[in-house]
Amino acid sequence: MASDICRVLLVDDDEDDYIMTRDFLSEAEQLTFKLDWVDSYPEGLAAIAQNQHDVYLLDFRLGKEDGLELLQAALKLGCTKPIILLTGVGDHDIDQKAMATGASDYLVKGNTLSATLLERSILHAMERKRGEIRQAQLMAELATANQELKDFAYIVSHDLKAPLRGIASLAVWLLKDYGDRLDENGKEMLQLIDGRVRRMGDLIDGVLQYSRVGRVRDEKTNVDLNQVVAAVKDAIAPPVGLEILVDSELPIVFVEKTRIQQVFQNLISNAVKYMGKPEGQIRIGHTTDNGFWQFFVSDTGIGIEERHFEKVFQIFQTLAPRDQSESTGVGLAIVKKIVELYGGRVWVTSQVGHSSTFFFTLPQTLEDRDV
Amino acid sequence: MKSSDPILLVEDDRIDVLNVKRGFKDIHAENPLYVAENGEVALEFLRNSQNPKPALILLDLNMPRMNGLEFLRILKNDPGWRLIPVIVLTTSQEDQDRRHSFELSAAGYIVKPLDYDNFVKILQTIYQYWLLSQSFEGG
Amino acid sequence: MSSKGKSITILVAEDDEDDRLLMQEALEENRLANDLHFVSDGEELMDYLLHRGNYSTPTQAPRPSLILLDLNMPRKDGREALKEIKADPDLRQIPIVVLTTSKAEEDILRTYDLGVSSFIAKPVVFESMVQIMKMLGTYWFEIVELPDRASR
Repeated sequence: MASDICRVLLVDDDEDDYIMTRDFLSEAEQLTFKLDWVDSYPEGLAAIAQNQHDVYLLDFRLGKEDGLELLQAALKLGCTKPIILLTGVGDHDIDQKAMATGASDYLVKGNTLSATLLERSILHAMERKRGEIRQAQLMAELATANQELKDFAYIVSHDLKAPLRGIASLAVWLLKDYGDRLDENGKEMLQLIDGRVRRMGDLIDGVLQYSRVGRVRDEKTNVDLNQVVAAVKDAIAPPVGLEILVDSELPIVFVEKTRIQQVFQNLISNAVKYMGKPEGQIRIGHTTDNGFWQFFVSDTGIGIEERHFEKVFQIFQTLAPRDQSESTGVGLAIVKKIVELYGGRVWVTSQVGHSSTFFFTLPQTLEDRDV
Repeated sequence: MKSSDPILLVEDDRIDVLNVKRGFKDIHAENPLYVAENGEVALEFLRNSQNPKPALILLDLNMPRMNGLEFLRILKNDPGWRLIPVIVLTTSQEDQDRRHSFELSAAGYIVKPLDYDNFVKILQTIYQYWLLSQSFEGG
Repeated sequence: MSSKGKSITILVAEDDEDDRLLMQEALEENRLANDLHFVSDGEELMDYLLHRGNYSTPTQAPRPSLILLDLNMPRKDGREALKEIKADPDLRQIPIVVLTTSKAEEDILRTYDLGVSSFIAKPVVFESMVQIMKMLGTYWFEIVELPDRASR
């Protein structure tokens, strides 16, 4: 449409205004305008309903009715083209109301109105409207995607697990009922089936947990992180040689308790899992930096090579061979998702063979990033 | 519930039916077990006065024709049937399913575990718990 | 699946002091007394659940995961409270176990009719109470999955 003619409809009961508008538009430099004119509210509304124009100019004074009413009626009809209200000098209230109602712009008639001003207002209004429409489309797409994800998670939980459970049961029964007729090789195969079934089950649970982070909401409350960390320590029950220390008095944050608990739970159990030796130390603490809390969970474990620093936060990525690892690679991905949902950041530093430190930040005033 | 009271299992998956039957044998539960493969069949079973009235119903949610929640709604709206405790046995971990089930006065909501041995342990707990509780036998 | 790490709130409605002590000890014996609250009649039970009167601060009366209900209590008895709870769209999802000395068929019928989850006869001996609380705890908190506690 950039190279085409821009069709403008003026709704104004004063012919002088029409003549002035026509003259202004004929002087336009960037676009070629074609101006149509109607002089009453009903004709205006009828023309808007036809949707034949690219932009509408509505005069505030329209006999019995006014331009604001026409604006409302047009929007109610589902008008997606920009509407500019023409008002009189000093009508600030009306200008405000027009913008609040959904006008793309307003222009004050009188000496200050010029050809340049009119053209620029029209161009800006059209640009803004295109932006609004694009945004509305994106929001709609996002809503659809979210719904699809919900449905998908539901299907995964129901339909993929059912046959898997069947396979698991049959493998166990074969071993129990016919074990004496199988040689070692056959028994081992059944055990391998069992192992793969469990792994598949863990993966499905992982997908579900991960998808749940974004779609299940809890109430936010003031959460004392000292209590959260203490509860997590209790739940993890680390082996005897493993020390878990909290460096500093942790703050109280306004979050969903189950989520922040999940963050600490996953980071600490990750540290326990990759300690690699019977004795070690895990330290938890925080600092304050520029409106953010910065937390860390450090360990004296096996460490991570630098080239894997990003990878560990991706879903299903684990650094151990599939067969040896109990881990599904979901825990840190969930940490990342939760922290980012709150507008924070997560990263890791490490010395291979010595230690790893996981950091995450949370804004001290937590705003919701969710859609 | 007594160890001679009948139990009704509403379940469409053949292996899951075997799971329960086998599990009952393993925990030495001798209650007669009746099976209906979906909600409609279960209602027919209950309507037929030739059949004994179950002291407990084990209910799957995801079934063809009439799913578990639809069945539960009908059951709990019937003055004669609503006295029968219903335990939901399902693969769904969705909170909405849990909430709907308890709104409809479910007597438990249990997510079927992957492996059979765990399932037997769960069945044992359910069974012992229900042996402990009183059911209405005057109907 | 297991209850570790979760805080379990049990609300017991029971007017008899001895029974309350018995239940508390039995729950403690089974390490289930994670977050135990007592009310002594139906009126107080409703105050607790609806955050009225003495329970107007919500943190003081956390939403229970399970209610253990005696039927015979002064002021408002268990049957009436049960009816009110099951009529409240926000409370009706909380499972209720009736724990009572009454074995009257009529009570069993009435309470199941009102949507109670199970009906257990209250034992007199401590050992039996411990046994029952153990079964109750294993069933409701280790194998049953309750709705999330957030109330929409």
